[in-house]
Amino acid sequence: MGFWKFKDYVTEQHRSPLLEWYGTLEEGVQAEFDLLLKNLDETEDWDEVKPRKRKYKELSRRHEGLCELLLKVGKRKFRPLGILRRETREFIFLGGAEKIGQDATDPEGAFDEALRLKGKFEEGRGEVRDYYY
Amino acid sequence: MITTTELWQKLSNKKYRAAFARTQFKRLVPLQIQTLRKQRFWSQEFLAEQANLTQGVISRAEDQDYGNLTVNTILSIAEGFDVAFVGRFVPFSELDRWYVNLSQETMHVPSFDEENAAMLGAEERANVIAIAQGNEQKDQRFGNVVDLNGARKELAGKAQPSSDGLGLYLLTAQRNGGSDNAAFGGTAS
Repeated sequence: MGFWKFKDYVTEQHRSPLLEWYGTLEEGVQAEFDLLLKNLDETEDWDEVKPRKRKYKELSRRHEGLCELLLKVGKRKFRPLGILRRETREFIFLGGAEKIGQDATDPEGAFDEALRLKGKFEEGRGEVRDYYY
Repeated sequence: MITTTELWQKLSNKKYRAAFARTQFKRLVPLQIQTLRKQRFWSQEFLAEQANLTQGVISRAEDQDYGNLTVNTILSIAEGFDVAFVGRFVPFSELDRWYVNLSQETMHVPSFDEENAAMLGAEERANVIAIAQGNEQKDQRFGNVVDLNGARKELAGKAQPSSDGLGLYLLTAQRNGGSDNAAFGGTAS
């Protein structure tokens, strides 16, 4: 039994943005993602390592309120996105993206879309369910 | 938490299972090193000293993104923890079960000394119970009651320092006319 709960936000249209993104990933990246979650689940305090080695980052400015998990596979950078709730040790996924260069992402606008879904979630629209990794 | 069935479905994809096996080694060995070190309340420096490595090597060994951990380094770290590292080929079903049950508890590995103490403790307890059961007929008032404290005293009274120079006591416990021999840890005074 781990320390954390990972949850998946499902929209009112019964879409899971995370699973849709996960389905587009190559198998090697999927495995890295699954094992990153296993690692985080078994790590009680995500801040116990030096800041540059942390596996997550809480975003500021335009995307404040969102949190990204930091997944590096070779030279590629993937960013599962969601809401971090420290008090209940939960991470609610709202989607994901691959970072390309400084500002671009694949899919394009993934961070803005995750922020939009965060708004929907906070309005009580859609639902969350346990995410199995 | 994933179940074996769910993981097995993912593993049915060859590319996924190859990547999964590689990645679990890359990420979970560092996690276990860190977990074992913390369970012992050791610093990286202390583990480095025990493993005859540098703190920098331990730091990299605990870094899940490092990815270049060598078997020699892992074996030195195992030596530092006084545990065995078994690198062996296994079927995916075994990896599946191991992964699904992986937790802080299952990652815990006792050192040889911890295991040894536990084994000898169990042997001592077994002797105490055996003596107590052998003496149960002596008490007529309470019927089928065993005197564990009495047995423990009886056993302790027969403790003698061993002659092997290892600081162990050799016990000779008489039971039902026969004899049992057991050794348990301790320092001869």
